[in-house]
Amino acid sequence: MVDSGRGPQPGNTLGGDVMDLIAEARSVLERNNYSVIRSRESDATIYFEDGNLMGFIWAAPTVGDICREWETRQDSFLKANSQFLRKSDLKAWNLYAVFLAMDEPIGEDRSNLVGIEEDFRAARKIARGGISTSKDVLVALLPLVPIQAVVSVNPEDALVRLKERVTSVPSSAVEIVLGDEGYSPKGADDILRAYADKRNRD
Amino acid sequence: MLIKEIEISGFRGIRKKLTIPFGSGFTVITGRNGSGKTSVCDAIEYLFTQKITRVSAEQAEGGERLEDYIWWRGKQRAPANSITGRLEDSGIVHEAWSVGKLGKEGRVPDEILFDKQIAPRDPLPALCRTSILRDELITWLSTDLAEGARAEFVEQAIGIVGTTQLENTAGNYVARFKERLKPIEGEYNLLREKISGILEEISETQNQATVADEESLRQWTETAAKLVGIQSTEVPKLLSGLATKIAATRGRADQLERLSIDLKAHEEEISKAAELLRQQELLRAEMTKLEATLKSAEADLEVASKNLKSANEAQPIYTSLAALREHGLRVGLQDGKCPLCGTRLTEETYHEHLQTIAEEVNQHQLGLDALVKKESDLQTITSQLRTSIETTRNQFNRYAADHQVFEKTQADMQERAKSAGVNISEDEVKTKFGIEKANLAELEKCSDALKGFAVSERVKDLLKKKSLAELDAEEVKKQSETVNEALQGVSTIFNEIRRVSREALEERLASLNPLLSELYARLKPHVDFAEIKYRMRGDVKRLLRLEVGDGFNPRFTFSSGQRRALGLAFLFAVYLSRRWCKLNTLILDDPMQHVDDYRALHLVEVLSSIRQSGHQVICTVEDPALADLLCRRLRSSDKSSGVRVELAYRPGSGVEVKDLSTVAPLPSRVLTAA
Repeated sequence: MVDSGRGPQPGNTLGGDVMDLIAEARSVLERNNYSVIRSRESDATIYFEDGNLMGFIWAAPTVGDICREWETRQDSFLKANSQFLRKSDLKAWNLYAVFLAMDEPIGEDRSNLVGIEEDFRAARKIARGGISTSKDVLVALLPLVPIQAVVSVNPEDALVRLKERVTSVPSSAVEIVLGDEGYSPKGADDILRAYADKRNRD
Repeated sequence: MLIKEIEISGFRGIRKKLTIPFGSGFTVITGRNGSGKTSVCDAIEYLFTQKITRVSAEQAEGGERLEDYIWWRGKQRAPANSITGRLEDSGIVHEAWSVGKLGKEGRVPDEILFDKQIAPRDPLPALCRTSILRDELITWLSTDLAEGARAEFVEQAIGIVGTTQLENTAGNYVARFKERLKPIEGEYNLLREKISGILEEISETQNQATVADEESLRQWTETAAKLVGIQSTEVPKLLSGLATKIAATRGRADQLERLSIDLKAHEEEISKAAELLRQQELLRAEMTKLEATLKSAEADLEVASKNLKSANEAQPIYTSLAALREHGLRVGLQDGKCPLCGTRLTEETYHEHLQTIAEEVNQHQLGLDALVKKESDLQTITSQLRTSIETTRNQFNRYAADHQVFEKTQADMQERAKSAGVNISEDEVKTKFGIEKANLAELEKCSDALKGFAVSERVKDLLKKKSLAELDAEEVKKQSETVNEALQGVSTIFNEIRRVSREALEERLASLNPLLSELYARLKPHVDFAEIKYRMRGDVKRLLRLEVGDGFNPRFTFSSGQRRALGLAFLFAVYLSRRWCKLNTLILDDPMQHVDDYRALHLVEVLSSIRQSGHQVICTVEDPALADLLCRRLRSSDKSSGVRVELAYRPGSGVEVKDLSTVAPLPSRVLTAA
């Protein structure tokens, strides 16, 4: 199947700079160590693969096109790559068919997309509409990539922050309250002594 | 830090030694129900904490707890009761650590497992709670937790520095100083009241004070000594004597004044008493007269009664005569003879006789009526006389009683006059009263003069007391200010602890949020709610609320399977945000239960993503097909291998490894090689 130029392109009729879905998807996958190649049949389709997963992404013109053509596209991919898939042994079970479109799904198309994803025949499907930003692309491809959210690794010691904020309190009193020993009547006496000393000094 | 290997003997359902070499990438453990999958997870937890936390989630039954069943209890003896584990860090395998039934072996050192500087309180339970995700606790620890408990769980898991302990300590100091301040302020207020009282007394006393003049003082003390009748110049002693004398003089004057008033009133009573005596005499004469009349009337009555009695006794004869006459009139003469006596009579004579009888009867009746009336009249008269005598006697007695009262009053007056040293004379009493009043005035004048001198001394004393009280108050005020400053200080620390704690929590939660959002997006629990939000609120007690859509609580919106998927997203986010934890192993005990195929696949993908992020995954599943799926998707490689373990339970003998294999890596380039 050849459908060169059918996928959404930059500067198309939607006006302004419209994201290139295929370029964005390729970028996401390559950043996460996937090998990506363009399909021979269509500029709107790319193939991807890493040590564990493989599959294709079709940037469909509309959600309606996904609903109508996803099965044809999947069969076409399987047929075109049958010799490779046979060689891949168990990896063929880790096959992904990804269908993306920029327009928002409305009406029945919403449930149709869910239905496509819930169909497990031949490949795991990702079928999404409303993909208009880089973040949308990343969210759609999350099943393929490692955890993206990063937790900062430099925790600040709350105790240090706390001590910096209570400079108006005599340091010996601060040490007593924030020390490891917890509350004690002697501690209370020592705090009073610290304040009495401060009064005498002042 | 990863778990390299575990050896389990005589623990739960495992009797003989069971060795599982974990893959550095992942390990999938499969087997039927009761094949020992959960026991392996329990053994890992027990190795770290010597506890199984899910025990606390289950109720004790019949006095027994799951803890009583930690070690093998089968008929055949276990060769040993121990768990031995090895950890691996960047390819370096640590020495083995063991725990046994007796608990004497060495457990894994804390510093191997976590960073103490940033770890939460009770880090080992927190580590296990967030690393080992058990089927029965997935929703219980996430969506089904109350908002407060959820916030606490997250705080614990993400490693807030122990601010709760600090808060408690600072709170105790705040409470202590508040408590200490109360009596000090109470004492200060009492001292201020005392000073005010002294000032008031000084002010009042100064008005009465007389400037001390030696000559005046000498004269007044001499006068007072004379008046009191003692040889002394001491003002307090003289004042005391004067007070006693004033009281006695005032008492006498009062007594005389009252006597004078009473005497005036008594004079009227004297004239009344004479009249009483005269009236008594009149009544006595009246009574004598009435009693004589009564006696005469009673004698007449006796005679009349006797006459009446005689007349009444003759009454039957007259009744018979009347009947005889009636009979004679009806029968008439019988053959010229009287029917009663047979005497020969003429008709005329016969009727004359009958008429004579009629007149006699009539005469008798008239006499009887007159006697009855006379007796009745005399009875009335005697009764009236007795009443009059009684009335007169009563009046007489009343006058006699009144006179007795008068005589008693008269005696009292005489007694009182005698007591006051006067005769019972109004004039004499008045004169004596005037004398006592003059004495009283003299005594009071002398007393006032001496008091004036005494007051100036009292003022001096009061001023001295005031100075001492002011010194005490100043000292207490200083104490109060010191405690107040200390209270302000510890309150500042207390407030800052809470602020810093909140800030730290918010910052760390902020880092948790993208993770939770991403994991939610990956697991997609609900098709209509693409995003999850959490909201932290509350200052004293923090609450962590999860929301979807327009503020809906997923706990009450989602199905159990959806809640489970959300719970996993939450727990994975918490697991991935633990910066304090060095152990990078995620353990899932049968997480696929109650999850549909679609979401199970999402979960596998998420585990694969976590694997890709450098974490070791250990997952137990019952379904062998699911185990195969996991082995294919969790990315076994030469550097980060996968292991598949199948466990089985042999009756009486316990759990054993049925099959153990390393998962071969998949071919790296197939599709894109061409």
